[in-house]
Amino acid sequence: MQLWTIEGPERLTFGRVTSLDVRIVAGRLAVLASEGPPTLEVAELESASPLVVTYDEDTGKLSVAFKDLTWDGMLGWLRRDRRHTVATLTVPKQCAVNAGVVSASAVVAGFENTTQVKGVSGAIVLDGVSGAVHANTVSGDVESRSMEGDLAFNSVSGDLTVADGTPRRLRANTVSGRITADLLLRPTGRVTLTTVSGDILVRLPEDVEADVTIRSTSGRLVSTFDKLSNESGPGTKSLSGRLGGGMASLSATTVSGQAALLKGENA
Amino acid sequence: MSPVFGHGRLRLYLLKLLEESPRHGYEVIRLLQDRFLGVYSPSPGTIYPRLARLEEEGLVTHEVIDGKKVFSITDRGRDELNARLDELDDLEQEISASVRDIAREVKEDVRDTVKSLREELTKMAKDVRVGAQEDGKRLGDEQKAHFRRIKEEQKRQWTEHATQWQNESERLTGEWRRIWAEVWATVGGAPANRAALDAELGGLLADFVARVREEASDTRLTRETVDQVRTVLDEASTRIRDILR
Repeated sequence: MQLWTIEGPERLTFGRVTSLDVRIVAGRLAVLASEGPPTLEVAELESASPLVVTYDEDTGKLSVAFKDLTWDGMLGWLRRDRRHTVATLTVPKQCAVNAGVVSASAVVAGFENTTQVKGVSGAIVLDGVSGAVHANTVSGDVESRSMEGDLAFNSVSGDLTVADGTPRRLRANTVSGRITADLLLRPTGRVTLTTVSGDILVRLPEDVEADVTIRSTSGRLVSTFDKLSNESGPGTKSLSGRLGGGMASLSATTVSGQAALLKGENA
Repeated sequence: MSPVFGHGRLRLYLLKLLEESPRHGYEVIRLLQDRFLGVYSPSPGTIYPRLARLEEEGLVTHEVIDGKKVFSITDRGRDELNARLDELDDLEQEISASVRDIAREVKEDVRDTVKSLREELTKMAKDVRVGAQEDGKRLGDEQKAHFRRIKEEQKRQWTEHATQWQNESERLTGEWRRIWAEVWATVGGAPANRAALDAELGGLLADFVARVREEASDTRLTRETVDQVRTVLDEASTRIRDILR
């Protein structure tokens, strides 16, 4: 087990890395998949306490964090002093990534294993991440491009936007965040979107094969697919139906938000 | 082209890559792409002549294995690399700076994509809403007429459907197969094993659906048969759930 304490700009290179755990407070964090040697580059660091890096060459576990920042009580991070860090990590794409930010923004790109990103108010950008992804934020937005595989998203007021997504399983829950998704669905694809007051906008290709249901208690429902049947009972409205031959499934539920199902071009 | 490789530095980096281990030319190209996260991707037309030049100078050598040239560094190449270690450090520094730039670019790029998507979809939804409001009353009346029409048509449609399904199901079987083959051929992301198994499962489900449709199209469905089928499907899905658990 090797240990470094970092107090200023520094660059470290490691051997084989199979799992990464990184937690920073403010600033910018980038975690990128690369076949080169795993590296940590700290470009800026303004903090009273040092950043602690531990690396275990036997297990391939790399961790980068302030010593007193633990995964428990993430909200507690907000109360701490301002610790500005700009860090870039490059590790192999098969690496399991666990990243946490408080107000810092995070970019995570290219991973294929399990990826967990937790944020409080910082925005999280996911690019080309496949495998199983969990993204949780309080007020930070999550922006995803070219995702594949599984994505689970939870937020209080943070928005979720999925551009060019091909989910096997997409689950998104938010209270007041907006959900915007442009999706391609495979036959086993399963999408469940839930908000309390946030709007839901989903675009599917015109030739999609899926069973869809969108529901809202008091918000407006909109669809540009015309084959859906409208069922409006007291207290809830829903639009549902089978698009194409069906098989994939999409359900979007909101209490007071608006839900829109939009028709895109052919896939 | 990345500014990182000015002043004979690509040559230095090639030596470094070959010092790590002997490699094929295409492997060198792939490694360069990977280290620069796909932003710098040299063409074979750039790399092969460079390697040939290095070989002329006696810094690398090659042997042919399975009809492919495998390049490795020579002692002279190692000397040159050692003499330029400082420069290599600088280069590594610059590479990490360029990785940082790449991270920033990725972020800006994704944010732009996402922003324009949000605007586009919001506008689409709004346009629909404006349309819907204007047509609200008319739509309501139309819908009533529509429902009446539907009722009348339903009977006729059932018979039509049956024939249609028969034709469709044949087409669908082929179609699903094709979609699956295509979809999974282009998947680079998910672990190969899982993706292949997922594809197989999807194929099984698609075949199943197609088969049931075909059989259903030959008979006249009644409420009772549908209920029976539902019971059987529920049982099947419970058993499948047990297996998958």
